[in-house]
Amino acid sequence: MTSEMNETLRELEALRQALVKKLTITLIVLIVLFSGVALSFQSPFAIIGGLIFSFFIFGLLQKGSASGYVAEFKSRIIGSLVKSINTDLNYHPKRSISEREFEHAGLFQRPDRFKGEDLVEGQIEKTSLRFSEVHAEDRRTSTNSKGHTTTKYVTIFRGLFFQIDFHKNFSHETRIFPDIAENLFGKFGQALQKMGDIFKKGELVKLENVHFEKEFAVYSTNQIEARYILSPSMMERLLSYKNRSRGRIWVAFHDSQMSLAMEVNKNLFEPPIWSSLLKTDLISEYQNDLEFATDIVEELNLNTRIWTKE
Amino acid sequence: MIYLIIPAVFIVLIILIYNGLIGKKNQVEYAFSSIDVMLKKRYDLIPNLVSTLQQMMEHEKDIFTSITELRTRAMSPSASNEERIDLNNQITRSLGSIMVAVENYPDIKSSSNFEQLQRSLNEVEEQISAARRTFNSAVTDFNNGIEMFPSSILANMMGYSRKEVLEIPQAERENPNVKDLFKS
Repeated sequence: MTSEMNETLRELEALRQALVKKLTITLIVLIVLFSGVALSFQSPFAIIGGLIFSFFIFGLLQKGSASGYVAEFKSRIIGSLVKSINTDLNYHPKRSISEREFEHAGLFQRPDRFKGEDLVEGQIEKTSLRFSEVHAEDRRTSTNSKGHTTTKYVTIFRGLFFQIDFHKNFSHETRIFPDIAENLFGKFGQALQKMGDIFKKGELVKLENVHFEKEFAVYSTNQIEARYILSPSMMERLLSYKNRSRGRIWVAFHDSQMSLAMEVNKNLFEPPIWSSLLKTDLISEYQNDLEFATDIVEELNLNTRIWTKE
Repeated sequence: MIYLIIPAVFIVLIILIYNGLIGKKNQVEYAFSSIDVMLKKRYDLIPNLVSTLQQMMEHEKDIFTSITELRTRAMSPSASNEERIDLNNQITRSLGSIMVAVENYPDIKSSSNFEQLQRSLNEVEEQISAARRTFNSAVTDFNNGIEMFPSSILANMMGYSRKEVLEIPQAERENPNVKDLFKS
């Protein structure tokens, strides 16, 4: 870590401490205010209700008042970490992979709610890539026996979504899903039915790599092209990248591009609010996350341009 | 009623198995013809390669004569499937030795014309390999169909027998080493 970054961190830590002070005062005021109101009702339920209500309001306020600090942290710390990995990469904290790109990959059902942030885009040697955090959700409405309808959102996919220039030309579509057996027994029976529509795009491709077959199910509109893309070495590389990621991954090959969705169950690249920024391992954690993401180009050997695509 | 249902189910089952076997057999034929398509692409590249390199690499004249001859024999309609596969394995080996020989001619190696040609060849080689793997997968599917019960009974009656998978030449099993390919 450079001394310049140390300096930045100290400045941000001052910002964070001011924020914590402001938030603590807000919380105390809220609790006093609502408990006071609740006490006048002279019921224990009112007091509990008052407390819950104050925390709820506090949650909303925290998000709003922390936004300045979060934005500052992202543009200064994450931004310079991205540049330190490769100067040809740019970081846009508020932008993301578009919903259109997400849908176009054809890996998931069409989402009803789509959010994203932390876009990194640019070029690693000969390969251009873009990736961002993405959260896609499906709306479920249910009506109970009394006729009340409730709406809730169920996650379809949450994690990093990559859009990468592939090193070979191809014209058909090939998709890799986590093995279906896993999906079958998973909890999203309904989602599975909708997934059926995706599976209709092409036929199952049986590959000779046993480990790969165990982890993934491959569907393609062209058997030979699927094997042209998934050469023996590419299968090994995808497997090892998957093993490093710990979450499930989905891959689509279309229009000579590769879309890869990697499940991550935490909000990446966010600064801590209630703990210090000056902890020793903090920055290396962000750096590891970023390096793991950008390593994909090397891991999948995408800079090897020995075929007609340059 | 039950006397009607049982034979009906039985007949439907036989039809399904029969069609499944035919489908598998056609898949093998289709996969084989796909290899031919890819091999044809390579035949088209060879004259180009020979004319680009022949004059500059006079000491290697023999390789060029032999690869041209192999190509002619492989393309002749009288060649059987086995012969064609065998001739193409020889072509693969000859191409390999040409690429090794080019190492001694830095001028050729660095020319953009040759690099483009080499890229096209790499692509075709990888497509041929993909087509072979597709064929082998189809053959395995077919062999499973004719050997597993109950489809084996029907396959026997239809006179189907095991098909052989293609040996993948050693060179195709290894990952191409890029550093060797573009060493300057």
